[in-house]
Amino acid sequence: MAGAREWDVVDRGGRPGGAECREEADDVADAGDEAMSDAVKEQVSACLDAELPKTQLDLLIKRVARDGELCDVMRRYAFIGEALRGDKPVPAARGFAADIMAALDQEPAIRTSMRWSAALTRRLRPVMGMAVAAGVAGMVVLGVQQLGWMPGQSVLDEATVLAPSGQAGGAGVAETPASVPTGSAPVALASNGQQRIGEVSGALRDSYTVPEPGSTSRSAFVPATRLTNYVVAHSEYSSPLGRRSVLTGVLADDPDSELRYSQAGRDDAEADAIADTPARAP
Amino acid sequence: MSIHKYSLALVLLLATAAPWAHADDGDREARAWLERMSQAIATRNYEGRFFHLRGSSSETMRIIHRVDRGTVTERLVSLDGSGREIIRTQDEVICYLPDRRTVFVDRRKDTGTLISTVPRYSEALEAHYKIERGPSTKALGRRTQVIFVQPRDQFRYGYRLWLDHETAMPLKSQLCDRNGNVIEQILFAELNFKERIPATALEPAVSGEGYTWVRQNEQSPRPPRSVEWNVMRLPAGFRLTAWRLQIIAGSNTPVQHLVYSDGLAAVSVFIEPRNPDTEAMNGLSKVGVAFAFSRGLNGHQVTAVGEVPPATVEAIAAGVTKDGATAAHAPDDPLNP
Repeated sequence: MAGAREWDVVDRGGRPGGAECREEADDVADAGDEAMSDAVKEQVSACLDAELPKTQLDLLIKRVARDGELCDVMRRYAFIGEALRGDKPVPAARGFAADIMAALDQEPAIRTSMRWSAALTRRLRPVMGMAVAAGVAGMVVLGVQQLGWMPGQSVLDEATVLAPSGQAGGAGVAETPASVPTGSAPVALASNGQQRIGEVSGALRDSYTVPEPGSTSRSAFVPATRLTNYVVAHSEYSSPLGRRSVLTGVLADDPDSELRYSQAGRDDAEADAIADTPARAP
Repeated sequence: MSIHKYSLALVLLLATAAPWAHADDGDREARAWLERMSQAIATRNYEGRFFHLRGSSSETMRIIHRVDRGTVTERLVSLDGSGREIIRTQDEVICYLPDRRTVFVDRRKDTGTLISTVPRYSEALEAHYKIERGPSTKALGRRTQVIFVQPRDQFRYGYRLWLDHETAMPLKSQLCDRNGNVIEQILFAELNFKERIPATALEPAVSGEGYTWVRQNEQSPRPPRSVEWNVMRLPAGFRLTAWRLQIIAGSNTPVQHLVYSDGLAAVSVFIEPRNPDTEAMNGLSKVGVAFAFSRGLNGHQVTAVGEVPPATVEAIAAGVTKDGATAAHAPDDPLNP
């Protein structure tokens, strides 16, 4: 514990970046498992301003090496910073980069300063590189996020009556809050329910209510390869804006998917096997 | 009542009805902006870099869009760690995933040019979206017109768009849910229009050598004579707009591909025979902003995919049923008549 320090940011004149070191009882490493707070992010911001002495920088690097989330945040900022500093063709307008910075500044997730000290960049690169490599190695689907329902959750959060297909397309047929016809049991959309569909068709021809919370408790498990194929095939029928969203989703490296999978208890070996398995021939 | 009185009543009726009629049409100028944007995205030569922001993640991407004698080629590249890229040509969509050492090749249905897929922003959209102009403002250093496309229910997403006054290109776009929460944001950092873009600019940075190539068979399956599947209860506004029988990359079995659209948002339904030895895939998945919902049905695997809220893909997947007498729901101009 001796010599351990925790960082706290003191706002100097409203500018994040002024950092003050104060003694704490706990070791920095002890905080590694805790959720990263805004204060810690601001510590990063302070560091990026290259105003920290070497000893303090060492502590932060130590923490980054232990804290995957913090490392990921720094990696993202690094990419943005590199993109902004990269070789640019003709900018669209004068001061464009500054405008982008201002726009990004408004994003809660990336409020942190993007200025990097050369020394910090040089020293953190191996750490972040390892994190990227680890992310790839353990990645289940890389951009494909599989969601399982948690008890008490439902994707259809509002009871709703949907228009029968015969009416679809007509103006004014938007759904209204559900009122299940008297004598008809509510029918849930089930993720595994052939019988459910039968019930829907037989009992409620014109309307049905959609799921009770937790009614679809089984988690999804579409192979990543197959899902990517579907999404790409679908994109050809999207609007230009929709297609751009869909395809950038395929390109995006989604760290959340990795997190969700690891939380679901899948080990890396199984995850890799899934990710690398070519689409199954039905 | 005399004829004169009837005439006066008619004039008064028309005078009072006119504003309502105008209101029902929505903001025509806003829709005209969307038309201009759609045309600009699809028909101009440009290259740019943009930030893709979703939740707490952000990525830098590059886009190169080339139109040469009506033929569109587009290359999207992730400039961050993965090095992934997608190249769309007249014939195929190729996804290079260096981090997975995999290349997906999806052969495109020949539908003329990509330009033909540009949607029409008609007043029919107003039934499901409120489309209106926002302020004319400066964004990202350029003069822009803000356009709001607000969904009227929870079954579709909307947009906030900052369209460049000069070119109508979306310099900034936000995908929003019904409550206005931003789901995804695309911010252009650079955008350059070019008279010509060399073909070399559309070539991938990786060769794909040594990668696993996942592609479908060359031979296209015979198109179905009619749509054998139907969705019994569609979210309001969605209708069948296209269907095809296609081979999905990595599989040899033809897959029924039905497309449902409300004019802006689209959902694809994929139906394929399921191997009886395997368990049906069930539940919700996500790729970027696109959701997919899968379920087993009569020995088939049904998956609905779209850039829509999860409720929509769930509702559509749950409504799929096999029905030989569904010609009434077939589109007027199917891709595979």
